[in-house]
Amino acid sequence: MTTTHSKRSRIFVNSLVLYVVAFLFLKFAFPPIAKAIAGTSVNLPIPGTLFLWYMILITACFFVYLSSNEKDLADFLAPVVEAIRGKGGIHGVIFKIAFVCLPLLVGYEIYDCFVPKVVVPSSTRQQHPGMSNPNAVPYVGLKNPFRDPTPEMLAAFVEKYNEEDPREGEMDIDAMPPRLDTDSLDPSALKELFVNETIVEGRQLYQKNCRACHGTGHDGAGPVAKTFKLRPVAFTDPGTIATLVEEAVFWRVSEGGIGLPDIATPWDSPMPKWKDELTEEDRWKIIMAIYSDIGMEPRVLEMKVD
Amino acid sequence: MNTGNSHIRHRCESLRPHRPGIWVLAAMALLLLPALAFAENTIGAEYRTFFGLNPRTTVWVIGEIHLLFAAFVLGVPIFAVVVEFVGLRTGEQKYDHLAHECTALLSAAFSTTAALGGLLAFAVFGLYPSVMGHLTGVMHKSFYIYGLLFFGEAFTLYLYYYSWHRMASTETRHAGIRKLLGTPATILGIVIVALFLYLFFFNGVGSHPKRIEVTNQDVAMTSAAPVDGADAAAAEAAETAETAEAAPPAGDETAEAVKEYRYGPVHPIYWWFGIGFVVFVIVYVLFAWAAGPKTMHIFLGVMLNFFGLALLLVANSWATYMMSPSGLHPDTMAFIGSTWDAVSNYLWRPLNLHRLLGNIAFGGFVVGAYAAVKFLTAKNDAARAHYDWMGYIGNFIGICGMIPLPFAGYYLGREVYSNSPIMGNDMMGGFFSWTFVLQAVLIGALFIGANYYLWAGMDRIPGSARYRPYIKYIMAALLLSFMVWVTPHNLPLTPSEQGIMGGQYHPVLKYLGLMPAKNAVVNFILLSTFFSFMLYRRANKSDAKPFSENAGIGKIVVPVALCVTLFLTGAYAWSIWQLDPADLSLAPDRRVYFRFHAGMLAVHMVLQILTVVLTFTNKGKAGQAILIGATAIIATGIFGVSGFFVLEKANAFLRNLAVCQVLLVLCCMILTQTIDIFIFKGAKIVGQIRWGKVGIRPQYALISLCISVVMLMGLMGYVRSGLRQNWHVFGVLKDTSPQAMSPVIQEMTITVGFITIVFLGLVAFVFWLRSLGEPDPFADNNDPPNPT
Repeated sequence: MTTTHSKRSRIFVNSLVLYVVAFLFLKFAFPPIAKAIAGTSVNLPIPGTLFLWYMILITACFFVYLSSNEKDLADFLAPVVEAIRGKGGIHGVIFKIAFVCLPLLVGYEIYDCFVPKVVVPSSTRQQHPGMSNPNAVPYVGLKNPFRDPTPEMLAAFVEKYNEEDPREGEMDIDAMPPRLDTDSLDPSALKELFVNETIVEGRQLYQKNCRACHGTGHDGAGPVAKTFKLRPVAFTDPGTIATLVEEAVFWRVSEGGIGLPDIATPWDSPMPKWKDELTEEDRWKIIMAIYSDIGMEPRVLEMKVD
Repeated sequence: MNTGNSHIRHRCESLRPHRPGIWVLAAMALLLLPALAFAENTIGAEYRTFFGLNPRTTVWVIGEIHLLFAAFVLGVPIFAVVVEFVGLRTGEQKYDHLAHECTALLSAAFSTTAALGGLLAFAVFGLYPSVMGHLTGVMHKSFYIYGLLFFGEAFTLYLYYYSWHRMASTETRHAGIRKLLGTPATILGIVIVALFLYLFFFNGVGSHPKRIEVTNQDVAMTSAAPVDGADAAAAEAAETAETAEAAPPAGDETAEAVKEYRYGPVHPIYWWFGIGFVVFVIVYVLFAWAAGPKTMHIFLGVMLNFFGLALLLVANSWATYMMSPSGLHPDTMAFIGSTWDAVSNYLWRPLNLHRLLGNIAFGGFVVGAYAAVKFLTAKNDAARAHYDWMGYIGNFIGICGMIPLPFAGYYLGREVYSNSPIMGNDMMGGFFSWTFVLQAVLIGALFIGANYYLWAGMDRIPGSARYRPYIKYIMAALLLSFMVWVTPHNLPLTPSEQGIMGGQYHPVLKYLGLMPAKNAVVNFILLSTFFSFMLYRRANKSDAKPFSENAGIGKIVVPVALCVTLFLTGAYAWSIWQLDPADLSLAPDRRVYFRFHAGMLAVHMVLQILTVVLTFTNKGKAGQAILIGATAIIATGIFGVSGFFVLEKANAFLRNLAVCQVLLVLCCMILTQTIDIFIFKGAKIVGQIRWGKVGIRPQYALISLCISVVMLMGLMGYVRSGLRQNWHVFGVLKDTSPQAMSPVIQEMTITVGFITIVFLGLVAFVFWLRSLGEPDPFADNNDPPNPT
């Protein structure tokens, strides 16, 4: 009888310990582990909303497991039942204390949730505002002209190249020809040179116009980034512009975040409308340079719809 | 006692209205509202209201309830026929009885489905006349086909149901013809089914309308002598331009459009399929006649499924045309194609596949819930045994449908993105992204519920205690997987959290919100569920017998299964090895990603061979363990990590990577399960399964599975339809009604919750009606379908 009682208590105690360990791990062990992985200077706790979801899931799974077998459930509940019936010695006392404390704890939590407080409201955010916005419609289907230059663009590029020596100030001066001869130059090499030059120009434009917020390393940590409630996007995050087609990025750069319609909310981005500041070509060049610098490709359609 | 009752009565009376006249007046006022609506003159209106109610919500509710009934009516016949066939092959009456009971539910639900379909048609024509004018102009020929198919569905359903006992005999009529046609009929059947699935459920050969640019001279020549086929498109275009009320261009512009483009004819493979199908029907009628009434009856069931699936395909074409219209002029967006061009639109086939699998899972879970309710209300052991077994089969079918469903969903999602990056962005990264968190919760409930049912069901199996220790590890695997699945890319944050993280994204957890992580864990969930099922099957069997001595036909079947899995894996590995990066608009140096994943598939092929070799040396269980472990490591671990590199560097290849993952998991399941059957063939039975000797919690799990799947279908219906946002027909016909907005998630949850309650109430009512017509087979504790 003693063995049975001990075994029954063990299931309860093991479950409880495991549950508490899971809680403690998520609450206290995960933040330093995340800090070590991300290489940040501070611990990175799990955001409150997600922590709540995780704990709900863990709680549900504990009960699913325990109730999936009649015997295990009976063993798990046995100490509780015994305590209710006034048995169980010291365990019974502990349970009785728990019976009193748990409702009080739940009550306090509920009170704490609903009592009026002065706090800055939490913000939710979508990854991308929808391109169904009226101001996005003109951008649908646009292609970056610099990725697939026309013969006219290439000719203009050669002419400009030969007029102004673009090697000035370049580190790798030997890799660039002093003059371009379209008759002898391989078309693919010309295109590559064109693309590289576009990226260089885009990079310079980025430094002038975008770096302050999005940072030199494209990590959303520019000098003024911390002044915004909604931080500038880190392009180095693979879940941002790598998941977008280029026209969507072009739309975001052109129209900015101010004045977006309600459908895009919550989206309180202070990103300016760059179409008022930069030419269309310059915006495409910047986008091309960003993708190149972060080593990612814009998303492409997997099927060419007729 | 009396005192108490009088006290309660007194309290109730105190709650009653003291002025009933007020309530009567209020009720009369409510009744007058429709009268006001009737009085409203709305002739010629572009939009109307439903007796003053929101037309959009009206169509939404009616459409979704119709769709849920239709899913049941189309999903259940598939497994009814399969179960009947199993009954014929095994000679066990319990299968036949189960198939009959499912069909009885079907016949009860069929008329309700039809009535709801009629109501939906009236609602959309009445409330959205302008939109339906456009759709009728484009799709009217498919309406007639739909009507005719409905006759076929109704006739075969009632023939199938009412002739059940009349055609129960398994006696052969003509042994010679049966023998002669047996093999050809089987081969032809397999070819036709495979071709049917390929042509109508996957974007493959000739699947999209081909637009041809023509010169004015060409048009002049063809217009002088109109012929069938491609040129019919021009006539269709002119007709459509006249009839479509909301088609953007008018008069001269459309005429100009017809001169510039036309659509090519239907790909010849579809004509060949049609001819093959007719031959198939003739051969099968002959074969079934010769094989006896029961085979003929099964053939009727097959035809019932054909009509059901054909109805599904036609109805899907209307929904998907509104999302990805085809047959259009590229500049004016006027419709210039044929009906087939509109039907065969870009999202049609992916949705067909998704709904087919969804319907199977849905049908299984609804039948499971029906069995659970019957179990809970059963009055004797025989009834409990039968309904316990029926619930198990329902859950099994549900799981079978659920396993490939995430991949079908992924396929549909990728195609949505390919069709329109706007929709893709809105779906996964924009307005609808939060609905996928809800979806993760519901799918989690489904998989955990289905596993729970298996675990709890082990209580009825003697010897299952041996496997109980494994359950906690499966539970842990499911828990971790769902924790990843439910993690979004970004979150609602408090300012302090935002400050600590330095932005909207958690520097570590953000990776769990991306598609490679989701694809990885879904494979882990499937493997875990499959492992649960394996344990369940083994629960009452003693140790495996030596394969080399006991396998019998397994010595042929296992190598054949190996050939199948090697072919599937090898063919795909070869295709991605050969893949040209330019085909995916990628730089040539991205080929390394293709080669790496092809190499990993090759490694898995070696492991498949090793597993079979171990099986033949009587170490089958070790082989299974190696294969399952390796699949988990490759499909979840290695491909999960490599997915992030693919996402960044070769995004377009992510779709192929997902195929690699599912392929490995499916091949692992096929091979492991085949081996399992033969290594446990003839194993000593610890004890018979005690059907009916199980607690009530598994029954409630079955009911919750049904509720979850209904809510899930409601949720995903909202997402699919809502993706069009302020368009009736995406990019062609704009929604200018006052309801031209996406309902917020709160409104969605209320509406979907309402739909769930109404649907489940209606289903319960319809099933109760059905029970009135037949006496309770267990009333006298007789036991015709004893599953034990």
